[in-house]
Amino acid sequence: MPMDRTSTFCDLIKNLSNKNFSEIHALESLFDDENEDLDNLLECLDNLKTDVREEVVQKIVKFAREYREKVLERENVK
Amino acid sequence: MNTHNRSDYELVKQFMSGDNSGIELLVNKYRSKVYTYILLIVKNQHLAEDLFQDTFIKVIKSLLDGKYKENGKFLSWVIRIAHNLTIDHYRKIKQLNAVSREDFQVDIFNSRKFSGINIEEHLIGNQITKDIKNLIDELPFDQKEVILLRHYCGLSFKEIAEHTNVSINTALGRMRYALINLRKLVREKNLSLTMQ
Repeated sequence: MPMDRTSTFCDLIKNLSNKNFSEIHALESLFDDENEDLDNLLECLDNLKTDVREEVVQKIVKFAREYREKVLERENVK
Repeated sequence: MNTHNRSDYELVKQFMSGDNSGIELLVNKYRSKVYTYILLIVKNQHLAEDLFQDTFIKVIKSLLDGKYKENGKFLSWVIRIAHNLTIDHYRKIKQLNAVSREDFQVDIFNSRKFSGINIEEHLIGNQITKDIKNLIDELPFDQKEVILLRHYCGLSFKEIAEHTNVSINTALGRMRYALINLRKLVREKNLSLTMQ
């Protein structure tokens, strides 16, 4: 993948305005099959390297445990 | 266990077959990418964290409810969910601004109340909002969900019931318990949530 394409793409993403709905909607085409810009996006996300707090991850893991129990309960009732 | 060589498919299978470490490994594998994507759009840490959490909650529900179809593109699927939830967030905010909010039970959720007040009151207002958010974070998931959907997203109880696959009575019950627990937490933490 050419580096200049990734960095150009990265600049576009970084300067995205959340006030402009059409810009956010435009990202949807990334998820179309065979869209090579998805790889550019993933590489860009890798380069930026921001991370979520561990506490948030642990809440998700806790939710997974609780939801699994609910699903099992639901299945037992059936 | 060497987790680096495990494919997404194997980790999904591990989770679906009853081993919760599968989802923990997947979240840790992609946390930075998914969070960065959301943050780039919303440009706000707290909102990005909430949407990140909602994204993986939806992932977990889809996996355990048997709605996930393996196609070798797990990450792309997760980012798409994050994208859709972000769009939904802005859509709800837009709707929220378009409708009257007079039926809100707690005025603090109505940010317009703070327009035209002085800086000190504004800062106190921000602190109260932050305190309330921290309290809501301590609620059990079901109660937190109903509070967020009702007061932050502006959904009706009918819509909440549909969104969470429960009856309206259950949604109302959860709201009742959420408010009881919030009051209890306010007392326990000795918080003042009013503008003096």
